[in-house]
Amino acid sequence: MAVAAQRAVSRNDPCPCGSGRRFKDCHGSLRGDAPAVPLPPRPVRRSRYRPAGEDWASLDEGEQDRLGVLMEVALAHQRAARMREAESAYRAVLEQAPRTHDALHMLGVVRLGLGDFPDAERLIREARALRPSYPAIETNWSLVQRTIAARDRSGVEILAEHALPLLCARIAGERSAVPSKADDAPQPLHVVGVAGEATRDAVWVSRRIGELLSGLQPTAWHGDDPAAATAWQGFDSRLIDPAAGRQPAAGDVVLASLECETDSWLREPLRRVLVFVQAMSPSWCLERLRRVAADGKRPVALVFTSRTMASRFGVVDYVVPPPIDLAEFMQAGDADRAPSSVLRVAAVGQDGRRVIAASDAVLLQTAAEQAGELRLFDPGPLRYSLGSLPAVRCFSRREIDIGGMLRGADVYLHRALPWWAEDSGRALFGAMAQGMPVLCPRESLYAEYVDDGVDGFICADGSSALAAIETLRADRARLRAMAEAARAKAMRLFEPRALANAYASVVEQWRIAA
Amino acid sequence: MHVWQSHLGENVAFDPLYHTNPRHEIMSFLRDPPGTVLDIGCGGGMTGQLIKHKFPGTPVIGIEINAHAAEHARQHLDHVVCAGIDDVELARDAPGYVVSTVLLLDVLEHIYDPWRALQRVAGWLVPETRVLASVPNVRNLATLSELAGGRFEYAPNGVLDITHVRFFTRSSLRDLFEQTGFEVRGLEPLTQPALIDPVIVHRRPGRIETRSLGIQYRSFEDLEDLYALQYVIDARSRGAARAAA
Repeated sequence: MAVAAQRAVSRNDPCPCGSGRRFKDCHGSLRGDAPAVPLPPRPVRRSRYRPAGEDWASLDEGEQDRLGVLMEVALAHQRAARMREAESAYRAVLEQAPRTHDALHMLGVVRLGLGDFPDAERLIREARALRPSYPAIETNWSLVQRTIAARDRSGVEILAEHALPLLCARIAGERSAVPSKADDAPQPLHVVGVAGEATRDAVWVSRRIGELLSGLQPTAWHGDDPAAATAWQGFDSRLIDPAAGRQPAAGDVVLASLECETDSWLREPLRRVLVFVQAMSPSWCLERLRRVAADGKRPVALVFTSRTMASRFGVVDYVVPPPIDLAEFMQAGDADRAPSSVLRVAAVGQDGRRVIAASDAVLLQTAAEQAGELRLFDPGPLRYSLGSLPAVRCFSRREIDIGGMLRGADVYLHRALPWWAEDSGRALFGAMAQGMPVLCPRESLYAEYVDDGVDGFICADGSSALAAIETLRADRARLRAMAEAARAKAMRLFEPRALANAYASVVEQWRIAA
Repeated sequence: MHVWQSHLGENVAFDPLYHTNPRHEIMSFLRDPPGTVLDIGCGGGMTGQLIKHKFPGTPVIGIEINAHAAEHARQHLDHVVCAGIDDVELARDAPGYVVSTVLLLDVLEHIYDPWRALQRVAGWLVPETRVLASVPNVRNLATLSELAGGRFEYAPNGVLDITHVRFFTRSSLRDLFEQTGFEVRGLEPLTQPALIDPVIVHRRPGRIETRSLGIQYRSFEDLEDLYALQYVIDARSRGAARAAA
């Protein structure tokens, strides 16, 4: 809108100095007789933005122009997800004209995006008072109200987080009261998992646990909607259908995921259940564990994939490494493709379990610009904030698998999420197996598997992750050494025979102990 | 003033906010240089500007029915045709351009007969030309919940933009393209948790509830559809002969 005015003065236009002569005969003269007085600074851009209200009416034309341009600049920043820049431009407008409803409104939206709900509510309320029943303001007003209500509900998760160890302690306490079955003949073993799309985390975990326990010759079951899939991907499992009498009959039950539905078929209270726990939101964990444990009546033991995860539940029954399949990640990356000034950083947007908000977009943006290339798998809402950056390459999970995306990368950035929003570590450990150092937040469930400075970096915050990227970008020899260490560790942790033994021995220990 | 008074009719003002909205999320579908781009419904040309920023030197031509918007677009794009799809003949109006990527960003839902419009576009293209289109998803949780609660109210923008005349879900969008001369290679939901999460009052595995609606979802894909305010469809033209059939 202001671009036309930004162009150079045409040679036939009146001279901006106000002399009344044409530009080419005055300051624009090519004959060397231009006036010695320098041309007065001309407003670089003009803006048509003129809101109603006393604030603006009292300003002179030049100031109105300046603020109008600022508003346009702010809006452009906001659209490009440069929230901090947008904020300072809106604030500059409000300093001169504090009753500019558009600036109050849009600054409120920016603050909402940055997570400052009270400030957002205050700003949009003020805008609303200045400009009643304006549809856009009303829309964002109801958005801020709903967001605040949703935040209040998320207090439930915090409460559930504290309740988890209490419930687990109760389950553990009840376990000793179960009569021993040591004298009985060996019980049949049932493994129950989730069927569905291969991209989904719980489905992948189910299949892997089925494979790792296959030496124990269990019967594999899935309980999902029959329309969703026929069986575990690449694994022969039966559909649980209690109405037709098809369900795990007597014997011990291994749940490959807490996502498995159990209410319809798991009825005998004294039946032993072993659960391979994947992190899910604390309230889900609570509800599922409570049901599986029949409110404490049924003996339940839990298997975790890290000690950190076990500590969140307050019990350490069994800990095994995540069920990573090295065969998925055996192809080495194409080490020579990128110029040596570029570090190819890989990250995952969503993990096939939940739609994750783009909370760390600013860090990812900085990482992309600093490293030179960010490869983003299943970007989800990150497409909005990062999609137009030249350094970002997005990969849909529908077109490529995670191993394929990792193949073109040098280093893997594990995003900092609440512990219960982390996936089962498939990308993190897959990256190590493929020969990539990993950048792992200190709070991650899997940080205990990373040796800081050896096969990855443990990052206290975003800026230490950026420092690690810079280190690896500048020092190729270090990158290669750490890559080799990462690969060696993955080969050791997930060596197929050893991993299968670890999983099988957990199940056998449990059957003896219970 | 009501929305219909301010946003429908002959004398609707040119709204810079509406016509100069660059589409950052669409850029995420362009991983490699796209060749010559045809932006149908290019508005003020802001998306073309983004393309030229991400892939310098990319030729972008636009078609735009709104004369004010087309005038803005001329400042950013290599060539702009100011007309509706039905009145454009690409070979005549933009001679010398061989298009390799077509953008149809939030256009089809504004057209009374998007089927014939797509068929027309297909006729301009050599086989295997990439077409990226974004279309609102009417089956998003916020709209569903409002409808379940008895409200289906048009707004100045969004899924129920008062200028929308067609509504699509994942499957009807796929049909739209497959029936008009295109092969669908991808259909990505553009999820917006910031707008959908606040509507949800209760959730457990496989089920979410709003104030007026409870929905059972079968899979993560299904959940994503409920979170998506729009889809991006990634299609390839099958060629003029097939389109006419």
